[in-house]
Amino acid sequence: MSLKAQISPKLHLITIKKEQNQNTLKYLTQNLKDFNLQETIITKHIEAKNIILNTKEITNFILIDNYNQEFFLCLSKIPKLIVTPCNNEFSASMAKEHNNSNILILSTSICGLDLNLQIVKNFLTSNFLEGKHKERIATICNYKG
Amino acid sequence: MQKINLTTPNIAIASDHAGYLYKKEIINFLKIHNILFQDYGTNSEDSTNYANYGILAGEAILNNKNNFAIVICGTGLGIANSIAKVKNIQPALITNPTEIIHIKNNQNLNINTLAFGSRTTGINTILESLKLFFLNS
Repeated sequence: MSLKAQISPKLHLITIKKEQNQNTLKYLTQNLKDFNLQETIITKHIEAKNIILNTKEITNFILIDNYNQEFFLCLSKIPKLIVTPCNNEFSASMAKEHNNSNILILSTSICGLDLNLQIVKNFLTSNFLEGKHKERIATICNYKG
Repeated sequence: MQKINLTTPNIAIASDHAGYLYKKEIINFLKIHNILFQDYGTNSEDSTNYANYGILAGEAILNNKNNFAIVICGTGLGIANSIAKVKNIQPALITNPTEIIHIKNNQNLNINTLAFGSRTTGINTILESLKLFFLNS
């Protein structure tokens, strides 16, 4: 099965406007040409929150920043969203298989171009395993803070 | 939001089964350095739901029983997302000490929880990160 065939139809890359991040964005778009890509460059993390909340179709979001902490803080408070700050390929696969996440955050200060590309590929080609993981995700989603 | 006083941390520590052995190592570290803590489980390697333990540690901060949390699961992702849903909790998933420097240089993030992954991060990396965060060394 091709990489393209295994993924959801839309992939939205959102990056904070900084040279290092935009280089990663460029590299990812060059290497993910088969995907139905959308790119957005933003200046504030909160803008990503508005984009995600206003997106109606099933979409995988890839967020790019020097470090992942700011995006994570901004998005992880939203009920039912499972957000994946990720610096390694293993976590990228687990984020889908165990956590059913559709939001991946890359750190350009921690990971180089090819590692980030591989993280994205693992994230996009893994599938939720359901079972006991579904129950755990439900605990997060049903929590009334 | 109450700001963390790192000179007198009182830590809520919690993990799922995957993080249980690391939790024991971290507790040893906290004891050696006389850092106050309360252990919210889990207490074995039997399979369990990380979300319950993450929420328990988060609510301990919310209810002022503790002022900081350390949480561990397999990747850190599940338990970080769980505790993040609790009001006033500001977690950071840490995979290396560089990220500790980043959050210490950006105090406005008000980080009051560190999350770790036992399957992705070695115990020495975690202990070095904790030293850097709590002891500045």
